[in-house]
Amino acid sequence: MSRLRAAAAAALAAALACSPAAARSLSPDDLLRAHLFGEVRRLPASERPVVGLVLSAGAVRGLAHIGVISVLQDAGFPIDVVAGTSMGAFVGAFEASGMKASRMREIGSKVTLSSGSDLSKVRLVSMLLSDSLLSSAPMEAMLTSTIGERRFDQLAKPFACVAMDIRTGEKVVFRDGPVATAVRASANLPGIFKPVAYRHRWLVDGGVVDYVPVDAARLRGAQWVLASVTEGDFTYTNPTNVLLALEQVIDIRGSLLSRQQRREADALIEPAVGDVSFYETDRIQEVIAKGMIGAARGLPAAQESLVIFAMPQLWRRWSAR
Amino acid sequence: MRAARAALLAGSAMLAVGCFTRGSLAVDPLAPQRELFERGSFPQAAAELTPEVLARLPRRHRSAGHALLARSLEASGRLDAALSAYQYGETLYPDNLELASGLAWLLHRQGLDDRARPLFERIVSIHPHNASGNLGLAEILRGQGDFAQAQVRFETALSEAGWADNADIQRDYAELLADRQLFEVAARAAEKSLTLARSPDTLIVTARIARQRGRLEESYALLADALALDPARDEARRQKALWLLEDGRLADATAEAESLLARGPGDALAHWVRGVARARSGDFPGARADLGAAAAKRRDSPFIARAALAFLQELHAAAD
Repeated sequence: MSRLRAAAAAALAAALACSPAAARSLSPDDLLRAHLFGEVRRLPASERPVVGLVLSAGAVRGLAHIGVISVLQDAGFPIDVVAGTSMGAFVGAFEASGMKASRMREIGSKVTLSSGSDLSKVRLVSMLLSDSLLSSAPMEAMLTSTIGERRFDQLAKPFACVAMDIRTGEKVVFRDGPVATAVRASANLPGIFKPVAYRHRWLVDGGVVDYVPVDAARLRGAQWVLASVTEGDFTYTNPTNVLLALEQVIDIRGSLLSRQQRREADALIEPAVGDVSFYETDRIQEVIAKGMIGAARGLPAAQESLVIFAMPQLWRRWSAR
Repeated sequence: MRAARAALLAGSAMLAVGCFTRGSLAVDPLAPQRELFERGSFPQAAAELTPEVLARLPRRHRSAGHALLARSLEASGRLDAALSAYQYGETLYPDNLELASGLAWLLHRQGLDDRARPLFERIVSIHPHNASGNLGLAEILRGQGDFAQAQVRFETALSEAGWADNADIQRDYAELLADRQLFEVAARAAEKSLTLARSPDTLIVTARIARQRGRLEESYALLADALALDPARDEARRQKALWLLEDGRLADATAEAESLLARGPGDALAHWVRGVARARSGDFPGARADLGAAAAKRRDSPFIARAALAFLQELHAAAD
């Protein structure tokens, strides 16, 4: 029987391998893209465009950025500068600290509803009854436990994250000081968490003023920007309680902002996570996988855009040889 | 391809009969239809498997009958009918791996990975080492950018008896390892593939891996071997032209581009290569002519056309 099975497997393998899906031949466009992208990667960092990676807000949806970064790291895509808002700030801090995507996936897979604070039903009911808000301090502790007590200038790459001053409505872009406090402020969901008192400001999640912080990346020197956008499709939801209504309003505001801000990026990756709500931590693996799928689909266009943008530098390099 | 399809029948049928059911090979009521399939008479095999024939089969042979019908339709090129037959059979016999696997592969080949992936996942949840299921998942995961998981799936498939001796699967595995920047292991897998079958596809993949390992002369030699086996393989010529350009061998790159243009005057990539080589040699009018020709190929090669336009702008700026 084992010989029969082996023969069968060999025959089936032979047949499957003859299928059109097995042989991957490259088109002339594919060949030139790979060639020129390799040329751009080989340019000394000082001679190629400064590449910015921008990670949007989106709570659990924003964990798709981990999948996006995983694909970019595997492809050797240069990332010189990072900017993020809310969950994008969290994942952005990981990337800016020099963390490997495999480690980010480990951390991401352990996120639960109570990772940022105690969001148990009892706690939420007591919050409503006592007319108070929760502390997001555990978020800061979680980030410190993964990247350490680093300041912005101690990160491997320039990084910026965005929060909002709830008293003035101003956008606050952080690019110095302790990273964990700034990231906590950036991801400090209004209506759930107490505003973070920091630098004489009352800070909440930056998603309502800067959902896709392309300008923050440019502020840190990015010349060409790739944005990963994890916008919610609010038409999926029919809000039936306080939390969902709040999420709906934030998502609508985020989508309106995103429509404008995505145009400022040079290339986009859009993981298909629109149907995931802020709190669906049981879908994290799916969200990360969707980030990878979105990035794999968007990668060729991003490479092409970067290559075209870098044509002046390539020509300078070629003509100097 | 016809031989491969017959092999698929043989393999799938043996797997189904020998491994997944308790049926006996001695009394196979599907023997006449199997024989037709093995002879390559796929439409006849499908025509003989009417709903009445399938309904009259002994219960334990019915799932195999549905699978044979679906495979016959697929091999006949009637993909929509095959899809329906697989789906119907799979609904009737959800535990039949042959039907699930056939359906999953057909969906994957049609580019419907969102639907194929859950089927492959179900197959490996029933039989974690099922090679076909793991290989299907490996291909899908690779396409979806999850190289690490794809590697795990490839290795599980290759650990099953008989599968490690398939040259094409070893080649695909080598390509994946190269995607993961694991060039030394990739080179070993590519070598193994070449020892099993020296195909132009594998030679081109091995050449790319050799280049990524810094073995430039070896990579050119492997491309030459690929072209010796298949002189019509323009992908290898284009790859060679680009490498020559990258290595600064401008005269050789131009010669290679001209041989491509002699074979097909509208080759956008050949115009790009010669245009860049001319620009780097100071022949700007010649470069502009070639890049203009490449830029005109917007429909066939949109990226080459965009790149050529961008480069032309640089040349104009340099002239100004």
